[in-house]
Amino acid sequence: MMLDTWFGDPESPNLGFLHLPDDREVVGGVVICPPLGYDQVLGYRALRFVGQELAAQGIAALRFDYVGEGDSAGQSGTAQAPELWMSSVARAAAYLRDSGIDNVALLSLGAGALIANEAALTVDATALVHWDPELSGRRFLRRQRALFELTVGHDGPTDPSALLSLTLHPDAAAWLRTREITAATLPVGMDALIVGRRAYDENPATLRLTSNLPPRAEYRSVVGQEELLDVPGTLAVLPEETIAGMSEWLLERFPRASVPARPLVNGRAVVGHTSDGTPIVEKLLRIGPDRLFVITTSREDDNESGVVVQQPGAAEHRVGPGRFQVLAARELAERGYRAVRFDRRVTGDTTEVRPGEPNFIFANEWVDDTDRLIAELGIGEDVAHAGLCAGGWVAARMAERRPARLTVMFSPNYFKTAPLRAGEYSVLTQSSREGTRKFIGLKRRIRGILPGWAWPILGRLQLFHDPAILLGASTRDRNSTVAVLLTPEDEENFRAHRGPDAVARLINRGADIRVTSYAYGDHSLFGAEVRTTMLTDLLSLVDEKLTRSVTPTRSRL
Amino acid sequence: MTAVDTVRHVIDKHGKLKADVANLAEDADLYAAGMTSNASVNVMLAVEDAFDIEFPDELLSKCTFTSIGSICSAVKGLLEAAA
Repeated sequence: MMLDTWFGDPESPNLGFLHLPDDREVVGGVVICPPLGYDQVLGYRALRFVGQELAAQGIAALRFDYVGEGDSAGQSGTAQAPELWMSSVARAAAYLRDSGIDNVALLSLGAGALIANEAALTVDATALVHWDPELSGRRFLRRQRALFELTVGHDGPTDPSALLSLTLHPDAAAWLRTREITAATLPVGMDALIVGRRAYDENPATLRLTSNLPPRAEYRSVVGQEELLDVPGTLAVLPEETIAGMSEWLLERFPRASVPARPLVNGRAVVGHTSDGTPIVEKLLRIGPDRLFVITTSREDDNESGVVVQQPGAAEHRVGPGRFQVLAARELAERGYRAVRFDRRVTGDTTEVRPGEPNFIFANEWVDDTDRLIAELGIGEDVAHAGLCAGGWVAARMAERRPARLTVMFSPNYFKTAPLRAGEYSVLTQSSREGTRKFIGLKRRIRGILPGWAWPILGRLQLFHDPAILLGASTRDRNSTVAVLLTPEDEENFRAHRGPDAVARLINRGADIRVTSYAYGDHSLFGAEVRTTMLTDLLSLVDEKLTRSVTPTRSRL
Repeated sequence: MTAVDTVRHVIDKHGKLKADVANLAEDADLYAAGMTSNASVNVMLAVEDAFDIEFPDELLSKCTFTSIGSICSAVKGLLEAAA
């Protein structure tokens, strides 16, 4: 079983997920310390699988977001971030102990190791596992910086030292830069297991660690990490053998006698206050037969205002760059709206992780999930759907099913209404990477020479991505506005598919479509500046179209 | 081991290419051969370790890591600047 709960300091609560065996009898507990940056996105479901596996062994496992990250309270990028990371680990350990579980171990992934390594002694951990750890904070920062330059390259005019998916204050970066995991920095007097990549066996940092391991530390070299963390999330493969090995190692560190876990579950938290002092409240819900995980955000006194339903991109969750969805929700509440964010099936904390599970990117299942969400929450016409890429496609498809005042599509690039089958997007991604995707070259050549009259026909047959098909379907309701927000690469794609012509035709027929192109930014919104710009534009659109409960006195943006 | 051999060894280990690195031409496009951005960063870090250098920000671009030759050229420049 998995319990969703807020925990920690009521002034800045952490969101956590507690995995337990069904009988709640456990031999110990494990605090799972998540990585930082894009590894959070890629590792999210894998760490949930770790939690499931530990619970199956009779071990409680608590996953959580650090304060200032993911769905937890707090701002990202503050100078206090290292203290907040460390105190979040301490709060997670305290939560397990308050639940009656005295023996608590830590398990970290990636850069989470730099935090867990420091926190282990403070929280008096029983044992410590570093899974694919970042052994050097300096190297972690170098990696994030290089990844940013190689994948984004340029993100607006004011951020020359941006990192991929991570906003760090210089003081927090300085803290990380001086952190290392070596034989000398491993916690003394504690069993420790370091599970490293085989490809790193000869790295200087690995050799410094393995050549002088303390007596109670063990190093395991494994394969399969690259297939989890160095590929697009849609192609990730769970290293089941490695996870089983860590789980067994941890089981041996706990006493055999079990104790009953008695956790306090809290589904409501105050995550901030408006400028007039009204609490901003977030509630955790489970909806429908798939028990979709939902978080609602609103002012404490608000039950009437318009609702913004947020959809992340790809099969992602609200960590890393996806955290802008959390900031958007809280800013919307500050301005007098309600916001709903949720995990669609096979993402984040909805549906149990099954190795090899297919995703539903551009498939009808996620539209069905959103439809059920709207029905179960009783959301009426005063609603906006806003989503990134595949989430934007779901948002647009929802406008076909139910009335919506506003649809906002960040970085759209799929304009067919015909859905993909479950898992089909991963197959297409893989074939694109291998250069074996059929008809792509031919389609590109035809696309450039097709006469204007033929384009809509082939678009209606769903042979080409004609934006008129998706945008036309979502603007049939004349009270509805559709906003298309394009980064440079998305604009290029939009133009290649004759998007401007499609928009002009639809506007002539009375549709309200707004297209905004940005001079910088990347499709996935890894860059912080483009995220902020798009968020500002979302808020303006919502202000124009939805009803709000109050008039705000200031904005945090 | 020459610098080219060292770079080939690093790419073989971290580049995750489908092609045989030993037979890859020095000007062959590594990205076209299947190297991802993540893999290119792993290559970059391993090259830094092997030569005890650090690529400055202005060299953190796909051009630098696009072929064995371009990596060797960047390494040569950095080693000469440090000498």
